[in-house]
Amino acid sequence: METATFQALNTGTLIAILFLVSLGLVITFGLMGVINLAHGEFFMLGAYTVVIGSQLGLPLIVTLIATPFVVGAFGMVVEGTIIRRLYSRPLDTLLATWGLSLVIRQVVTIVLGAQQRGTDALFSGTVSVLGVEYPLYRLFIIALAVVIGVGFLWVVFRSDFGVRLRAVIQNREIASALGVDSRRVDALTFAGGAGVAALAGAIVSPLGTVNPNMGLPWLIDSFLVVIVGGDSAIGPVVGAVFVGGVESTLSFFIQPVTASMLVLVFAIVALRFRPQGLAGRRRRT
Amino acid sequence: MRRHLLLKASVAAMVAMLVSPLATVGQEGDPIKIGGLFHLTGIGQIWGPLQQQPAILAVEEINEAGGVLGRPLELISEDDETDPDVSVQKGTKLALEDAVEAIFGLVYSSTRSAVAANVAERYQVPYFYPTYSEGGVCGRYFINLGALPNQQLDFFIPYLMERYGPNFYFVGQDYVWPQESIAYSTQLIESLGGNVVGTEFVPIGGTTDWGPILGRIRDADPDVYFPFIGGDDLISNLRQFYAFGLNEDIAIASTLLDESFIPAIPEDARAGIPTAASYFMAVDTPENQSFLERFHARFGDDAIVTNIGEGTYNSIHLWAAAVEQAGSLDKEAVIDALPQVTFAAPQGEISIQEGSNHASLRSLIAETQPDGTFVVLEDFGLVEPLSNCEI
Repeated sequence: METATFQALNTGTLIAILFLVSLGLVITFGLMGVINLAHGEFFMLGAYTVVIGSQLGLPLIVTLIATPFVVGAFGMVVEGTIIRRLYSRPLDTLLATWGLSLVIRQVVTIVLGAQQRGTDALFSGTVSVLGVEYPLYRLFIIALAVVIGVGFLWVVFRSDFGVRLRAVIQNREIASALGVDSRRVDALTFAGGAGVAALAGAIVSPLGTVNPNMGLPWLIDSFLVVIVGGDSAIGPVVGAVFVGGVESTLSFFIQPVTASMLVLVFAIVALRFRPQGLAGRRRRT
Repeated sequence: MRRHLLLKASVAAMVAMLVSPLATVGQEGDPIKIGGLFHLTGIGQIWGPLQQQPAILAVEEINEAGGVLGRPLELISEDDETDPDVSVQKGTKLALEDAVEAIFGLVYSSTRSAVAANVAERYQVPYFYPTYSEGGVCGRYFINLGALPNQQLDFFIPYLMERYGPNFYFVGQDYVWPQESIAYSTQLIESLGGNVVGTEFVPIGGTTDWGPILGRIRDADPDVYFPFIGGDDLISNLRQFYAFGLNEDIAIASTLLDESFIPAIPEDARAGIPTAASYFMAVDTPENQSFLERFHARFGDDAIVTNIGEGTYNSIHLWAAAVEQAGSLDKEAVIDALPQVTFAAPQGEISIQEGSNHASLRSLIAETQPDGTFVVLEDFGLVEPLSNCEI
C-alpha cells in the first residue's frame, strides 16, 4: 500500500512536471503552428530569473510571480522581431528559433557564466500522505499544474481573448475581416507560451540545477508530450499523462535506461494508430 | 662593383627572410606549449574550472621560477564539452596544430579513454590524467595521477561497512567508470561479508526526476547509499535524496562528494558525510598551506581545489621536473625520466611508478563539518598503484 501510494505520487509529479514544461510549447506549436526550438531556452531563462531575483534579494514568491511576465515580455519582443516575419514559412521558423536558442544560451553563458547555480524551493520538508513521507514541494508542483491547467483551459474556452484566439487559429483572414486584431493575438499568445515555459523553469529548477544548457532535455520531453498528445487544447494533458504515466510505471519495474527507451517505443506505437496525436485534431494537409 | 654589392645584399636579405622563421623555432625564451583539456561546458562543467585553475597556477609558478629549460610555459586550454568525440578533436588539435609537449586534464572516464587511445598513443604525446578512476587504461603515453580503486575504495568501503553497516545500494551512470567501480566495490563488499541490496544504472545526463529510484532505495532500506553519478546529475540526485528525507535512515557516501559537491547538500545536513580521496583542502602539510595561499591569492578566497585539481597541478609540476631531469623536450626522454623524479605535492611527496606510469598517491578519508569544510579522519599514507599495466 505504501509503495503504491508512493508510486502514485511519483507518477503524479512526473505528469505535472511534463504538463507544465510542455504547455508553453503547446501554446506556440499546437495553437499557433510555430515550431519553437527556443522553448527550452525560455524555460532556462525562467530559472535564471529566479536566480537573479534571489541575488537581488527579492522574496522568492515575488520573483516566481514576476518570472512569466519578465520572460513573456521578452517573448513578445522575439515574436515582433523574428517570428512575425515567418508565419507563412514554418521551416524557416524552425531554423530561426534554433538559431535563437543558440544565441540565448551563449549570451547567458557569457553574461552569467557556465557554472551551476541552484534555486531555492518555495517549501522544504516532507508531509505524510496516507502513511508515506512525501516532499511538500512535489505536492505543490502537482497542485500548481492543476491550477495552471484549469486556468489555461478557461482562457482558451471561456475568456474573450480565447474566443479571438480560436477565431484566429481557425481562419486568420475571416477573423481579421471581422475586426480581430490578429497581430495582437499572435503577440500575446507567443508571449503567453514563453511566459508559461519560464514559469515551468522557475518551478522545476529547485529539483535540479540551473545552467545555460538545462533547457535541452526538456525541449525533447516537451516535443514528445506535444506530438503524443496532439495539437488540441487538451493535448498537453493527454500527452503528459501518457508519457509520464508510462515512464514512471516502467521505471518502477525496470532499469531507468531501458524504461526511457521503452517510452519512445510506446510513443511510436501510439502514433502509428493515431498519427494526429491521442487528442489531436485531424491534420489539414 | 656597386651592382655586386646590391646583389649580395639582396641575396643576404632573402636568405635571412627564409631562414628567420625557422631559426626562431626552439630558440631560447620562446614559450614551450602544453595543452589543457577541460570539461568547461556540457554535463561535466562543474569540473572544468576545478582543473583549469590549478593548471594555470602551476604554469605561472613554473614561469616565475624561471620556466622549464630556461623557457617559459604556455598553457593552451581547450573545452571538450564533456564529449568523447570532441575530446579527441580538441586533443588532436593540441597535438598536431599547436604541437604541445604534453596534454593534461579531463574527468569523465569516457573522455579519458578516447584521448588516451586516439590522441596520446596515436601521436605519441604524453597525456596526464589527474582524476580518480576505475583504471584499466595502460600505455606508454598515458600517465595516471588519479587514485585507482586500490588507492581509494580498498580503504573507503571497509570504513563505511564498519561505520554504518553491511548493506549498500549503488546507483551509477551507464558508462565505464560506474560499471567497473560498482563491480569492484560489490566484490569487495561481498568478500567482507556485506550485501549489495540494489544496483542500477541511469543514462549519462538528463535524468531530472529521481523519484522512482529514490522510492526503490527507500524500500530496499540499505545502510549506505553510494552514488556513482557524475556532473550535474549528482546535484539533482542529492537535492531530491534530501527532499525525500531519505538521509534520516540511510547514510550517503561517495568518492564524488568532495569540496565541489557539498554546496548541493542542504546546510543542516552537511555535517559528517565521509568521503575518500588523495587530497583535501584540509590536508595538513606545509606544501598545502603555501599552495592554498597562492591559490586563493590568484583566484579569490572562495575558490576551491579538489583532488582532481590538485592532480592536474601535480601533473604539470611532475612533467616539468621530468623535462629538467631529461635535459631536453624529447618526449621519449621525458617519459623515461618521469619515474626518476618526485614532486612535493600539496598531498605530500608523490612519484610515478616505473613500468606502469601510474602515480603512488596518498589515501585519505575525511568527513564534512557543518560549515562545508572537511576534516581528515584517516590517513593511510602513500599507496602504490595496482594497475596491472606493463609498458
